[in-house]
Amino acid sequence: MAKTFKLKVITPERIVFEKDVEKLTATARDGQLTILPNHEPLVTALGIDVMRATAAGEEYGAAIIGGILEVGVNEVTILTDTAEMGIEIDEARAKQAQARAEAEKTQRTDKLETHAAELALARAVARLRAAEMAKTRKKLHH
Amino acid sequence: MANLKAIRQRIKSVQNTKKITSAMRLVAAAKVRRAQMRNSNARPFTSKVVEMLQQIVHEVSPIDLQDLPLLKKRPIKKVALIIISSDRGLCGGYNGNIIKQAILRIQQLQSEGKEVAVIPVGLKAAAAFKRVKIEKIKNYTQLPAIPTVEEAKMIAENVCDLYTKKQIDAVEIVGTDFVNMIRQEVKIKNYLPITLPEGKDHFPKSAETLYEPDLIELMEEELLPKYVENVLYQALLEAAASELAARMNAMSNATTNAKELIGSLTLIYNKARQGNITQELLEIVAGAEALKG
Repeated sequence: MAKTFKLKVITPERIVFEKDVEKLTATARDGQLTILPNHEPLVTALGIDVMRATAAGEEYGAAIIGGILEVGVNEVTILTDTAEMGIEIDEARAKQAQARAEAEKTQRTDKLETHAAELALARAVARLRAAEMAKTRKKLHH
Repeated sequence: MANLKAIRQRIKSVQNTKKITSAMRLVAAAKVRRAQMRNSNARPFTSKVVEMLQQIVHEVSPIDLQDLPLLKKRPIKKVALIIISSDRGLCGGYNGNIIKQAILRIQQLQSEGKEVAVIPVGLKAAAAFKRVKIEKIKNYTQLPAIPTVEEAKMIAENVCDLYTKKQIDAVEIVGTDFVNMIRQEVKIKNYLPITLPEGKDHFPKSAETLYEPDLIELMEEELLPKYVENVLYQALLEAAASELAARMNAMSNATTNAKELIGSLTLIYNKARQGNITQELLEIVAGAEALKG
């Protein structure tokens, strides 16, 4: 039995991440799920959150903004419109976006607009968390 | 002498034009390479979406899928054409070819007794259909030079919305495929309703795939919108690469023409100069002869 599986994160613009990993934790629409090698085939919709993958003892974090996760035979693919690796994220900008979204959420009364603000907030939080993960990993290394 | 001056000015002006066209050629050549790269970077996503759909078609009976609005076929009364052109000219026959093909297709559909509406993308198509008596659903002009998923999403959502509301019964894309640097082909593709790929089992020997929350919801909310968006995104990318390649060729031809023109003008100029000198000599000789008496 294989001990790793291939993880690919693909957006319409490029392949964001491609590595053999031992473990993947992501958030589906209806809750968190962890995938280990030899998982049975599965297709599920993802929420807006961070994904963590462990490859050769190192942990990688990326913000995933919705999308689809497909588990095949020792191969997992995440298809999403936007995915950013933790190290690529501009933390200051994400913080600004978070503050903006929070302010908007309290101001808006319209249901649709509140929903949009909530989504923006979730995106900002996911990106911040991914950036945070990348930072702690760097610290451990130095 | 006045003639000589005019020719000299003409040569100068052609030289200036040549400078501009060769600069434009270089710019287009650099951009087309990057556009091609974006094309190939976008391919993994497309092939994965198609793979997932193939797997689903393989595992699920068609009856379960036939109620999805984007897949459902109905009698076609009205067809919308998405016509992808460029915002800027100076790219040879690029826009002309697209518009010609689009008009042929419109005539064909009309002769079949169908209503046709157009959705021009790019200023050139918008301008071409401005004075034509035909329904325009919406113009998409001045999109960024490098197409992004956002625009594709915007157009796709709009079109899908019209389709599900039954205001249009089919959608086709008129766009240019980038074959190679020299050849770009105008293609008319069926867009909606979606034609699913043939079923194919990508994971034989493994258990049946689980779909969460459930297949229909997944198809309706994730896979099909992604597929539709991506087809359009691909079309926009192809069109962008084709436009640049067409511009590169047009500018390269223009530069060659300018070179030839400068050559023949220089020849004329030299002939005229020589003629002048000969005539002056003749006049001097004749004058000397006359003085001799």
